[in-house]
Formats: sequence, structure tokens, C-alpha cells
Amino acid sequence: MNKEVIGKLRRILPSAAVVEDETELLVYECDGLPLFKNRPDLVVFPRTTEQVAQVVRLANEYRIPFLPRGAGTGLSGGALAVEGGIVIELQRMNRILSIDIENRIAVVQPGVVNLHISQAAAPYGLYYAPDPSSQMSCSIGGNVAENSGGPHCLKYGMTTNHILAIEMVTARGEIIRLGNPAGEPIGLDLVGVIVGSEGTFGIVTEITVRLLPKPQAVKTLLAAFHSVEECSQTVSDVIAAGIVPSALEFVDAKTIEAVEASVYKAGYPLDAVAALLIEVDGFREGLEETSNAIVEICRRNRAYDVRVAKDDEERAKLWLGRKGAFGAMGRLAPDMITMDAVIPRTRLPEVLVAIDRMSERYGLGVANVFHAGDGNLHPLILFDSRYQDQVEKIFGMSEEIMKLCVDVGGSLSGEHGIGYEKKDFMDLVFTEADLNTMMRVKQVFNPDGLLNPAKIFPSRRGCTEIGKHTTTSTAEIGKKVEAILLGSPQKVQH
Amino acid sequence: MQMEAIIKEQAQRPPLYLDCIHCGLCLSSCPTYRVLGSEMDSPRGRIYLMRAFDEGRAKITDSFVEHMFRCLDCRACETACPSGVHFGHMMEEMRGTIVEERPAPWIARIVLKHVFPYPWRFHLASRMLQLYRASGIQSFVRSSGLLHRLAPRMARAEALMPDIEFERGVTLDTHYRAEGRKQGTVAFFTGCVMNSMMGPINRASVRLLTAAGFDVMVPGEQICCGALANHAGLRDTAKGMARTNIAAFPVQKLDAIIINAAGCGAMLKEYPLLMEGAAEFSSKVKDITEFLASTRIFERLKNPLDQRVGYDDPCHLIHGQGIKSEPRKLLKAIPGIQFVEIEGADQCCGSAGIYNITQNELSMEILDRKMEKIQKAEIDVLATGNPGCIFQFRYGAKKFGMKLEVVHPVELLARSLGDSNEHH
Ligand SMILES: Cc1cc2nc3c(=O)[nH]c(=O)nc-3n(C[C@H](O)[C@H](O)[C@H](O)COP(=O)(O)OP(=O)(O)OC[C@H]3O[C@@H](n4cnc5c(N)ncnc54)[C@H](O)[C@@H]3O)c2cc1C
Ligand code: SF4
Ligand code: SF4
Repeated sequence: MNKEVIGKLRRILPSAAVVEDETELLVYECDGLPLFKNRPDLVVFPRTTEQVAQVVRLANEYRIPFLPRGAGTGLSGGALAVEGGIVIELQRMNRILSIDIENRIAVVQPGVVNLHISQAAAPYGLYYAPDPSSQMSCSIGGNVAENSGGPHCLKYGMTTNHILAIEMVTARGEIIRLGNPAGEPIGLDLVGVIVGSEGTFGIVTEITVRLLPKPQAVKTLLAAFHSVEECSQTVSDVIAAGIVPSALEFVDAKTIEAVEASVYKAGYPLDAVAALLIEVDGFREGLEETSNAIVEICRRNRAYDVRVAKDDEERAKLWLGRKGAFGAMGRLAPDMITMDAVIPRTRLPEVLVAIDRMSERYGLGVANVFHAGDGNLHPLILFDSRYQDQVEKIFGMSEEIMKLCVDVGGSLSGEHGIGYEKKDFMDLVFTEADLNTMMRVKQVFNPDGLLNPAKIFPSRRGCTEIGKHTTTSTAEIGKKVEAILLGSPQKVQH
Repeated sequence: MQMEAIIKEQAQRPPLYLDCIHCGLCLSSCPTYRVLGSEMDSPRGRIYLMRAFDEGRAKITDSFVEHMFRCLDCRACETACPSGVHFGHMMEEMRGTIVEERPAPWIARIVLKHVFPYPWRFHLASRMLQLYRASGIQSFVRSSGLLHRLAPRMARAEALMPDIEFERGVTLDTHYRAEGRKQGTVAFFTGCVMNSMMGPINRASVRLLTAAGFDVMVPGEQICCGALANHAGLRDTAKGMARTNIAAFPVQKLDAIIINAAGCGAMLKEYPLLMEGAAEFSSKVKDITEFLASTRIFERLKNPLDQRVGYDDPCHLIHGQGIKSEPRKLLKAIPGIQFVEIEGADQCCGSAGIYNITQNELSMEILDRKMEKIQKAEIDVLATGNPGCIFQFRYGAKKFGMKLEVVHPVELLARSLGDSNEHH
């Protein structure tokens, strides 16, 4: 990297906040998806919005690609420095700036850990609802970028439903504020555009989130089944009965094996072929009946063991087990990739059977643990990256799984984003016109393509390319933005 | 599983770093990552570097060494990791390799290699320390700022020096008889730091053990457990110390080997990872709180203690040995005590062996965060079961101008025994 640039960066930031050492850069060559690696040229650690803006302006001046990074738990390669350049690491901007109890909002910096918001709000009986399984580590900035979900998003909605306002450094280094902390947005709701833009529309430097009062009562159930069909049927029946569970999670036998061997041992039944973790919450009154109704549905579908957690401790354990599930896969194989796709709930059994066959054909183990309530599938494919043939198989198998999900009427991502991993699959679900529209929106926010390049869109279309050929007026783009707001094409929710 | 079996398995098994699946769930449990927010100062990043080194993609450069030694070896990451990564063991091996290739930081090297393994040298060193304090030179040096200008690290290390209880109880007798009906026989591991700097703690420990009905023997040939050397990567030195210790204890005749320093306890329990033939010895090792909680000591806690008392988990107790409830259970059994749970009690205080000397700035930042939480808890007494942590908290209390007594849990328990003339 250009010495002049490093010198200038060191004028913006303390010397130790600019990392250029090769060994240190090595750990930034990948995020939560180590299948793809590329070493950035520099990593910087700003503490203020102004510093972020200055770094961005400098990168613009020298035409250096740059990208934001949170905790690096992303699973689609969003924080991968595809073209090298500068990684802007936001983990030192990790302060909770204020909690407004009356209005139930919190203002936080992007590096704050998701779970820490709920912990800080707990004394006031409040919490931050979206709860990705990585919540003990992932940053709220990363959540905003990926529009992350979690088990409880079935009832409470994804990240986008909980973000009221943001401060953002644009791709050219201006500092802007979007949204309205007090409630309904005025003018265009651009916050909704930024949430889920995967770090390609700007760098979010401050976030106003909605807090919810903790539900008065919660009931958590664990139901064990001898077959996937019975388990899936239960999911459909619960929803058909008009019950709105706050969470409805599926775990299979392999997952149970890994979790039960780990520090997050939760007492999942080791002999089950599949199990459901079901939670309902709300007012104390009536909850018992709802819970009984669920037990009844499970039994009718031949669940051989249905347990209702008797206290908070048991509840917490059941959830820790679920949340540790991805990580526990290290017990079964040295490497894993977490697939993320959405399918219509009714197609669950056949898709799982097909994946099982694929697993046999490729000779790679697969575990399944996912948000069954909204059909958000997460096949975890196990492999060993030291063997090149296995790595190649991974690419083949993941592509087959994606195609399968799309074929049954599903989509590419439920919550982990497209990032680098799935950009070439976008053609499977979007038409040329769809993609062009999205790219024009990107053009507005990221006109030079320097911010987090080579993400989301199929490789053959460079973003700058489209800039050369289009003469779309700003008014037209505004309309497209609005069109996009009406439906969020990247994140299909059921 | 037998430790020996684990070792055999390890000889054939693939590298330990393969257990890490790069999920990042450990990140926020790591004290250095919480402060620095840099991947190379996180468990995941350190493992990544170890793997890169093994695969020939990284070399042992200055920065590599720095990030490995910046690790507190607190093992909070092991408690958080769903994949069951053996982080502590990997780190010790990595440091071993580093030390083979490059000398350890000089302070650590000299002290660990030339002082800690030899009880008499250590005693000598602490006697000199005591003299130094008594002579008043200390206050002169402190106020003149001489040390601050010459060697800031040494100056800070100097402030960490404990109030030495050298005269009282440096040497224990070799045998103590059980009070009342005898329940069994245990041996007491004195630990070098405890023995020379924390006499009253050792005496309180022995009193409690005899009060609980155990004969206590204190083998004279025992030496430092070797933990500090091992954490610093001096594996051969540590192995030699382990061998001497194992030979010093008549394991078959004992119900347990009791240790009151968490760091040493974790080390003694893990001798089998270091060498063969240590399994029987290690299986008998018990932390004093772990052991007492299973005895009839509860009936003996009679004297009331009317104070607000907090407890802080030493990393090598909670993460290293999985001991969390026993010390709390014991403390809560003291009549009249108001036990306060401190927020983040399971997080490292930043002392970790001699870390507060070798990585002072970071250690202080970690400590500051910790002291803020302790201040919030509004306690009179803080109990914690590891000498390094006790020093660190005493220093922290001084730095923050707090009126806080920092003790080992056994000291409070011994006070509650009554008829004691041991006070602080
Ligand atoms: C074990 C495990 C479990 C997971 N469980 C879930 C789950 O249940 N639900 C779910 O949705 N996801 C889950 N994930 C995926 C991941 O945790 C989320 O995508 C999370 O939001 C990423 O946050 P991060 O801080 O790690 O971001 P990073 O990985 O660092 O970055 C992710 C993306 O966000 C961008 N970005 C980061 N910070 C900012 C910012 N301040 N402004 C703009 N862009 C930014 C980056 O450029 C990148 O494109 C899981 C991951 C793991 C490893
Ligand atoms: S939690 Fe365990 S598996 Fe996950 S990154 Fe940390 S050490 Fe690796
Ligand atoms: S042992 Fe402690 S300091 Fe070292 S990596 Fe693990 S959590 Fe961090």
C-alpha cells in the first residue's frame, strides 16, 4: 500500500489504529465464511464518525476500495475484501450512547454487540427483539447491513422492523442522517433501503433501535419426533391453528449430537430424528391454553416426547443449545458452511430428503437446524478444507441446494445475505430488469463502486459499467427506490 | 476420560486448531478483544494465526509474538466455545514453540527461569522486596518519579507489589491433626507465591481443613507448580517442576491434594497434558473451595460477619476448572453475610499470572472496567481465590481510592470459625 496513504491515515487516526503488518492482516482475510479469502491491504480502527468519514474521503481521493466490517461473523462473505483495499473495522465504536426508557429507544454505535443492548435495557424491563444465533458476538452494524433475523423474528420481525434512524457515512464521505427516531419516517423511508444493503450503500455509524417491553410470560416447549415428516407436519399444523409462536425451530439428529457434546448441552433427546423448539409469549392469561394446544398438536403428530421448560433456567439452556448449534459443528468436522435459503413450509419434508440424498452422493455430512416457522432453511455442510476435492464438492453441492430451493418456489437467502458467496445465483431468481433496477439504486449510493466492491450482483455486471450506459434521471431512480421499498426482494419473508 | 488416554489420542489426532470452526461465538467473551476490538487479539484470530503458522502461511514475527503473549490465558473462550476448542493447551504449545525460536520477554524469562523454580531464591527475592518496602526507599522512589522516567513498566509492576506478610506463616509445619473425628488425610500444596506472600491465607486454609476433620500434611519437597513458566512458553522448565512435585506427594495415602491458588490448581490438574505418568496425581488435586464444599465445614461456620461481600471468579477456577458454585455456596453459608453478585464476575481482571507486568497498559484498561463494576456493587469486601487477582484488585482499589478489603474466600471462612487469632 502506498506509503503516502498510510501516512495520511496516521494523521486521521492514532498510529496503532492503522494496521499494515502482514501477519495482522492475515486474520482479516475472511469473515464467518472462511471458504473465501483475500487479504486486505490495510485495516483501520476508527472511534468516531468523523474519522470514518475522513478515511472514506481519503480512499476516494486515491481510488482505493474500502469496506466496513463488524464482528466478522457474516456467513456470506460480506466482509471479504475481494479487491483488497482498506477494511474499516467498527468494533471500537462500541458504546451504547443512550437508552430512552419512556420512548423505548436506544441509540448505539455500530460496534455494539447485539446481546449487549438487551442486557443494558434489561433493568428497565426492555429488550431488543431480533436475536440472531450469533447475538453474543455479532455487531448491530452488521445486523443492519444484513437485515439479520433470529428465532424470535417469526413473531417480531427482522432487523428492519426495529431500526428507527441511522447516521451514515456515504460512499463519498458525507455524513448523513436518515429516518426519524420519534417514529414514522418523513419523506422517503431510506432507512429501509439501507437495512439489508450489505455494507454496499454506506457505513452506518450510529443506530437508533426500538426496544420492546419484555413479554409478561413465556413458555418454551421441546418436542421430539421419530420422523421428519411428522415434525414438519407439526410446524404446519401449529401455524394453521392460528397460533403465532414467537419461535419455531427445527433441529435434526446430527445437530443434537453436536450440541449435546458441547458446553451448551441442553438436554435435547439423543434418539430423536428431529425435534422442535417452540416458544409462545405474551400475556400470562391464555398462554397456558396456547401451550396446551401446541402440546396437543405435537402429540397428534406422534411426538414421542414433549417437554415444557419448567423454569427460566431450563428455558435459557434450551436456547443456548440452539444458539450454539452452528459453532458446535466443529465437533463433527474441521470446516462447515452454513447454507441459507427460504422454502415454502409445506415443501420441507421433500427438500430435506433431497438434501439427504445429495449428502450421500457427495459424501459430505449435512446437519439441519433452522427457523422452521418461516421456512428459513440452514443446511450445514461439513467438510475439511485441507482437501481440495472436498472444497470443490462444496461448491457443487451448495449450488445444487440453492437450485433445489428455488425450484420448489423458494429463494436465495432468509437472513445471511447474498454477499460474495451467492452473487452468481442471483440470476436464478431475478430477471435482467429486476437486477438492473437494483443496480441503479446501488448506483445512487455507491456511484464509484469503491465501497465493498464485487458483492451481491453476478460477476459479469460491473457496477461502473452500468453507470456508463444509463442515463436514468434522479427522479426515475427515486421511483425505483420507492418500488423497492414496497417489497424487499433480497429478503423473502413468509 | 483418563488424561493419559487423551494424550495418546492427541499424538494421533489431527491438529487441535481444526476444532475451531471460525464461528466467532467466543469473541465477546475475550477480555483482550473486548478492549481492543481487533481480530488478532481474539481467540478466533489467535487460532487462525496458529493454523497459518502450522501451514506455513505465517511466520513468528514480532507482531505474531505480541498477539500470542497478549492473550491472558484466562480461557473464557473455552467456556464460550461450542466446538470445545482446547485453547489453553494450544496456546501453551504455541508459546513453547515461540520460546524455542525466540527468547521470551526479558522480565518473564529471568523471573520464571531463574527465580520461581527455586523456593529459596523466591524467598530471598520476596525478603528483599520486604526490606525495600520497610526501608522507606520505596516511597522515595515512588515520589521522585525516578522509576517512572527510567522504566515505566517496572514502576507499575512495583506498585503491584503486595503487602507482604513475610514474618507470619511463611513456613508451615509438615503435619496438622484433624479436629474432632477424623474424616481422612489430605496434603496441602503451598504454592510459591502463596507461601511467601500470602502466609495468612495458607494458615487459614490449613485451619479450615483440620476443622473439617482432615489431617493435613505439607510435603517439604514441593516447589512452584510451574504454571507461570508454562504460560510463558518455558515448557521444559515446567516439566521439570511437575516431575519434582509429583515425586513429593505420597499420592496413594491421600484423599486429596488441596490447593488454594486457582492458577496453580488448573496447572496441577493439567500435568497430564504436559507429561506422562501424572494422571493419578492430578486426579487427586482439588481446589480448596471445591473440597470444602463437600465436607462438614458448614456446621463450623458460627461467627457472624456483618458485611457486604462480593465474589470474583478467578479465570483459572471458573474457566480452567469449571468451579463456580462452590465458593459462592461456602461464602453464603457464613452467618450474617450479605452476599452480592457482581456484574461480570466471570470476566478476567487482567492480572493473569505476570500479565500485569508484561502487558501493563492493556491489563490496566481491563482492570479499570472491572473496578467500575465493583464500585457499582457497593461492597465492603471482595473475595477471590487467586493470588494474582488479589494483588490486582488491591492495586485497583488503591488506584480508584476505594475502601475495599480484598481477601481470599478462605480468610472469611476462617474468621467465621471463631476462636481464631488470625486477623488481617
Ligand atoms: C454461529 C453463527 C450464527 C448465526 N446466526 C444468525 C442468525 O440466526 N440470523 C442471522 O440473520 N444471521 C446469523 N448469522 C450471521 C451473522 O452473524 C449476521 O449476518 C450478523 O449480522 C453479522 O454481523 P457482524 O457484526 O459479524 O458483521 P460482519 O460479518 O463483520 O459484516 C457483515 C456485513 O455487514 C457489513 N457491515 C458491518 N458493519 C457495518 C456498518 N456499520 N455499516 C454498514 N455495513 C456494515 C459488512 O461490510 C458486511 O457486508 C450467524 C453467524 C454465525 C457465525
Ligand atoms: S467459539 Fe470456538 S469454534 Fe467458534 S471461533 Fe471461537 S474458538 Fe473457534
Ligand atoms: S484465553 Fe482469554 S485472553 Fe486468551 S484468547 Fe481466550 S479469552 Fe482471550
